[in-house]
Amino acid sequence: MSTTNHGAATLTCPQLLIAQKRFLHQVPHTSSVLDTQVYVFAVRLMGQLVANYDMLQTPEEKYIVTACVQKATEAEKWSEPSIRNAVFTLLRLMLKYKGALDLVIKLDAIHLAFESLSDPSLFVTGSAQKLVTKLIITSVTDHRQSTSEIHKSLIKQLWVVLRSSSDVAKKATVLKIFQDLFHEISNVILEEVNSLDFLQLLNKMIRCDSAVLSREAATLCLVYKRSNPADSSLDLRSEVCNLMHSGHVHVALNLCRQLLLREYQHLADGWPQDFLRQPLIIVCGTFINPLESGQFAAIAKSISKKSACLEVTGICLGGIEQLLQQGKDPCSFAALHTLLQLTSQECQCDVNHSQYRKFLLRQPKIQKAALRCLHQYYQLYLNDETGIGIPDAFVGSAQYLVDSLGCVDLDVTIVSEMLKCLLPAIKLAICHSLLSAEIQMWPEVLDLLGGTLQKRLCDMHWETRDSTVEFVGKICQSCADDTTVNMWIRKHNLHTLSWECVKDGESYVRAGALATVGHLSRDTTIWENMKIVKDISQEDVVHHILTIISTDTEGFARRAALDLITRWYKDGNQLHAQPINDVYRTMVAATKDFDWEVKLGVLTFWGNIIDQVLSNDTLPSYAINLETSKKFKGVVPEEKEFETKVEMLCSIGCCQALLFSVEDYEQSVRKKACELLTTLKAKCLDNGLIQGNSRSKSSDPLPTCGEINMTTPIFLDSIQQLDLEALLAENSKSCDSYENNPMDLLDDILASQRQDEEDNAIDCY
Amino acid sequence: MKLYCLSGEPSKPCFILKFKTTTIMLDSGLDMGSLLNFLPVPLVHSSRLSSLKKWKPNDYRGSGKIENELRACGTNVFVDSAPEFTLPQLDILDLSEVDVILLSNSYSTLALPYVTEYSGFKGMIYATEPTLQGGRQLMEELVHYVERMPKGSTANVWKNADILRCLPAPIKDAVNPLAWKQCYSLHDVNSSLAKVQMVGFNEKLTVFGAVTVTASSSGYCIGSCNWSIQSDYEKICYVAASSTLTTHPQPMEHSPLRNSDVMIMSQLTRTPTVNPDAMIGEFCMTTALTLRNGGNVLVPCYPSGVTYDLFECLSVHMDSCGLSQVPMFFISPVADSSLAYSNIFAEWLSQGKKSKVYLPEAPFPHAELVNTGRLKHYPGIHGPFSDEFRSPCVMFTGHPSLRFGDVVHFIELWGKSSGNTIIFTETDFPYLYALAPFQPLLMKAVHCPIDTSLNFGQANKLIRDLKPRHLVISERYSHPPALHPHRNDLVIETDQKTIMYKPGSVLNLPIKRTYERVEIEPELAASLVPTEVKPGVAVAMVAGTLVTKDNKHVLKAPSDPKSKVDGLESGRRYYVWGELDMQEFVSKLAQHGITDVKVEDSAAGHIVHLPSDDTLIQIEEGSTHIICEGNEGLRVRLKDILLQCLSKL
Repeated sequence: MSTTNHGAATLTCPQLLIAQKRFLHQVPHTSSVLDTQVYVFAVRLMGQLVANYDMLQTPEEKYIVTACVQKATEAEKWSEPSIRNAVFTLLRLMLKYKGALDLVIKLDAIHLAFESLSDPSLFVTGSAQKLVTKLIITSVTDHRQSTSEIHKSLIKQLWVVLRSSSDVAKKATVLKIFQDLFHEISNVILEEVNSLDFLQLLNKMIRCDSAVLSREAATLCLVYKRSNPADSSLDLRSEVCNLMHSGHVHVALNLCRQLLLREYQHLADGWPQDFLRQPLIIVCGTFINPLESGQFAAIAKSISKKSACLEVTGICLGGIEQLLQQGKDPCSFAALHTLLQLTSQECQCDVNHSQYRKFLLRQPKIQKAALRCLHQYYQLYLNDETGIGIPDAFVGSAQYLVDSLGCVDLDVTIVSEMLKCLLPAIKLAICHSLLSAEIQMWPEVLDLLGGTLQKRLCDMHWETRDSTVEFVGKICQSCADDTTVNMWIRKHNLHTLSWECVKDGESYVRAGALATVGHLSRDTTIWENMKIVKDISQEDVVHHILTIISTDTEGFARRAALDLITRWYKDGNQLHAQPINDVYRTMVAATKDFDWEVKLGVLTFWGNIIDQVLSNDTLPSYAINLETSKKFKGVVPEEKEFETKVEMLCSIGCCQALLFSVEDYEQSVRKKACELLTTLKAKCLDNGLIQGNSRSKSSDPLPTCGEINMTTPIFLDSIQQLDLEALLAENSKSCDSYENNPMDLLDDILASQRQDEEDNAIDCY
Repeated sequence: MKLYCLSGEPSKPCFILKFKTTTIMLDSGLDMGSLLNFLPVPLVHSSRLSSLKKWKPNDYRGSGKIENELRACGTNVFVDSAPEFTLPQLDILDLSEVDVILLSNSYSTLALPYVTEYSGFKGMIYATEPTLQGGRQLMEELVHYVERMPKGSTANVWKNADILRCLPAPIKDAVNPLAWKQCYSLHDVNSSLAKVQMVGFNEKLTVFGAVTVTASSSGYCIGSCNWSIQSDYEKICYVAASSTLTTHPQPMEHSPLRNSDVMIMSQLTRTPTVNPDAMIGEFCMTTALTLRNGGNVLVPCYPSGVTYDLFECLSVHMDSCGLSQVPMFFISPVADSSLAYSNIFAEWLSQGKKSKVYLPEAPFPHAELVNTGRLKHYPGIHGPFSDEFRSPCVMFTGHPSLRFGDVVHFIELWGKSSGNTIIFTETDFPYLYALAPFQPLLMKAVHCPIDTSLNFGQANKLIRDLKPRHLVISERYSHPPALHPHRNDLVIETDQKTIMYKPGSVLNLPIKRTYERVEIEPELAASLVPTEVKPGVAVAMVAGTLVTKDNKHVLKAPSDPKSKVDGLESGRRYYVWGELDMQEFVSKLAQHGITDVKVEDSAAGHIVHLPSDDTLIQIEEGSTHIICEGNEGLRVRLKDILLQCLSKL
């Protein structure tokens, strides 16, 4: 739910509006005793009001705004960045109302905003930038205001800053303002600023030493071109070429990368990707003679130092990743493969000759970026429906991944990226029938991968164990149908080792392993083999998971265990002849868990049970062994059938758990319990177990969770007592509504401020 | 100054340094590589080992009976005899001349009984307390293992050169097996170690007054040190096994080793291509993997050093993997004392471990592991161990050569199952050859060599920092290892003058002794009348009697007053010094009637021209030439006038 909607809803309450105004009226008059944070709050509150309500309608309201802002801009308060940020935001929001521009000028806010364009706080700079932009746009578009010509002066001021200021940060912010303005009112700007002068200045700035200025100027170039596509004085391709020749390769490549963004794509017809590929080709040494092309020579020269080489390669990879995300193939798979080899210590092949190897070797940023690209490539080939096939270097790239994954001192994030890549690689291999023993290398690759995964499942870093066990789960989830993969999992004991990870010392690994166990259990061959190898029964497995739910110290693991049991119940095929009563007992106990998400999970479990019990005519498979189920199997007359079902829910502890959860301290738990009980109550009403209007006035407390075997009459009586609609309405209130109704908070703040004179020192100990 | 290089293996160093009047032995390492040529000695009878086929060369026609000496296992041939060791080349010189032995770490002490017993040695042995105790434990364990199951016979026929060349590799490559010796006895160990005098870090010890020796921490293991051997004007540093990594010992000290005349460097890492941290990771991963698969892990180890770090890292990793319930066993005849000693040597440990003592906590977590029953230690597999033993487990036991000790029993026990793993962490023995007599072996073998001593990069950096004038290294460190011939980074590369040694080399160290410190007796010193020759520098003539005792020189006043008079008066010589004042010289010449004088400044000094006498006097710094066409009388006159213008001493 959005804050705005609730804010609007709140404002429909006249009392609240009056209270808020009363508070805001008090603020400027409470003098200096108020804490700065109260001012910040007041100005923000005013901003929230202004977002939905014109605060300039009456002189009194105008006075409140003026007084508050004036007070906030006093030197002492203004030094606080959050005050500056709140004031600029308030003024910007206010600009949509008539007369606001005059008020802003009167408050000297333009001067303040210009001063803050290079504020040390990025938040303030951002809000000042937005205010100036809004001021100009409002001045241009809203002719209701008497000061509608103010934009000309503001644009001139900005232009002066751009031309003559020595403050780099300020100039960068002004460039951002121009970027925003060109989106909206490019013609107005060009009336005030000569386009040739403008482009010349941008050209100069793009080549300046400041990276931020250069980047913003380049972006502005694109924005300008988009707004003025017909302007032939700015040819982007020539600009990129010139930048490359003048040694500003990283700027040129960044420009190309931006041109790949959806909003600028129409400005270039595919040439940016050629440019982006060039550094990769040079770094990988696949370009034979760099002197053939001046451009290649320029790039080669500019990346002769390590930092430049890493920067350019990084930009290049970022661009390639962007292209791949858009489903385009930049045709550099082989180069990417070579680059990955260059970064790898383990790789001792022909790449050793590359002069860039010493720069790129074991550079984690480059490795990660290249692996992300590789992942995108695999995805691209995986989603390819045209059947163009996979590149020649595919097997080599997979081999590289497996070889590198075996390296002991690999960074955990790189291991994770490699595993991410391996998943689509294996899927691709399956799609293209590469896994069979006839295809050279693959069996070896898979064998090596199996051994490496075994070790990674016992890695020193829990992050690696976690990502590996998840990888095994994903492989099982998506590829276990393939005979080779299925056999491979069993051959390398990946299923048994994943099960062992359920006992890991790190909760995240345990949780990941539990999810993987869920995937493993879906494949009968793997699951049965796991139980045979580990010499455990299904009952042992369930008991172990129940132990995690009951005793694990980490909520994360308990939640995962709960999810697994819930999923098994939902699937309905894993818990045949299992310790069903133990499961119910554990679930009832878990209703008292300290972790609200666990409790929510328990309710989801009960929700599934209720759905299955009440919706199915036949008895669910998991309930076959229950004592109560005997009544269900034809022994009971048909009219008593529903009552029996409710009786069964009572006997397994479901009903008492729901009633207990209705009084939980956590709102979402109460809400979920109310929803389930409402459904149950409705069914009971429909089946005549309770009467619609006979809500008892009894004030008996609800049963506690410890009470077992709650009888059906008690349960029915209990739900009849409960006003579930009211409870549900109360528990459905979003916490946003409290945020947007700050009366209690305001009272607290004002009350605490009034107590200044009192001796309010409290001994906390 | 001479350096004798007695050891063929740089990681088991043994040098003798002759410096001034002293003879100093640096370390006494024992090369145990020869053990691998022998059959393992099982703790209980092994039908497999005893049924190995006897082996003799096909074309052997010799007279010696070789039938019972060699047995074949696969393609390898092993000697069926009591194990023998390769000693340093102790016969190069007379050991009774050795004045002092400096020991740098417990691993470099193992040949000590061969040096000090039955050799006439009567010098001193200096070592830190942990080195002494660690060395004692290593030796006692070795003796215990060897003596526990004594072999009835000793094989010597196979050592005959004619037979040796007929044997298959690698036994045929054995270097001088006739010089191999059987293990010493516990009596020899005790007798030898009784001669050790314990020293502390940075404690200055004089050797016959001639040199001062000082130990400084080398960071390799508890109590390990490097030595600096200093005279008044020369300094020699001996850098033995050192480590710049952060492990449990006190960190390496650099400053005592700086600016030496000669630095002898030995014991660099034997696994330069692997990172010890990565190997510890690999060790922990492999262990956890084996345990998760229900297998046992066997770790052949010494009862010291890296083993303590392994306990620490592995227990943390096992906790992290949810394997806390799996026991770790440590079996060694000295396990108890080894674990106990490591925790009482707090002053020799890193700051982190040292500070734990003040909490108070045991510096090493293995104390806690023992208390909680996770680490169980026993002197052997008999007795209480069998009650506590359960599987799966991690077993740390010796000996890393796999030729004796409890490890042999566990390989026999677990070797038939592929679920078990043996992990080699010690670097003294090539693991494949160590395993050769146990083949075929289903048990997985994993090599995780953990050698924390300096690698080549660290050593090169250290040399740049310490700036010795001359560096002495093994010639092995000057070229890449045989397995990595293209790794030019795996060599010592330095701008310092480097002297290489080979086994048995005798090097003349290029140190010219220029000065010797002499003390002046106070009485004599009081009689001196120094003359200031330039600000801050005063000189005086002195005559006395030089008395040299314990390599200390003292100048005393002459005991005979007459001779003093004679010495000072009758034999007195005057020394002139100072700068010639040309004005004074010209006026003196005038006083002596030489008035026609012309003085010119030259590049080197002055030229005085006496035209009337047709004479030139060239006056330069340090020399004066009088050119007077054979007029000897004039020359002498001029000389005397000139000398009158100079100061006298």
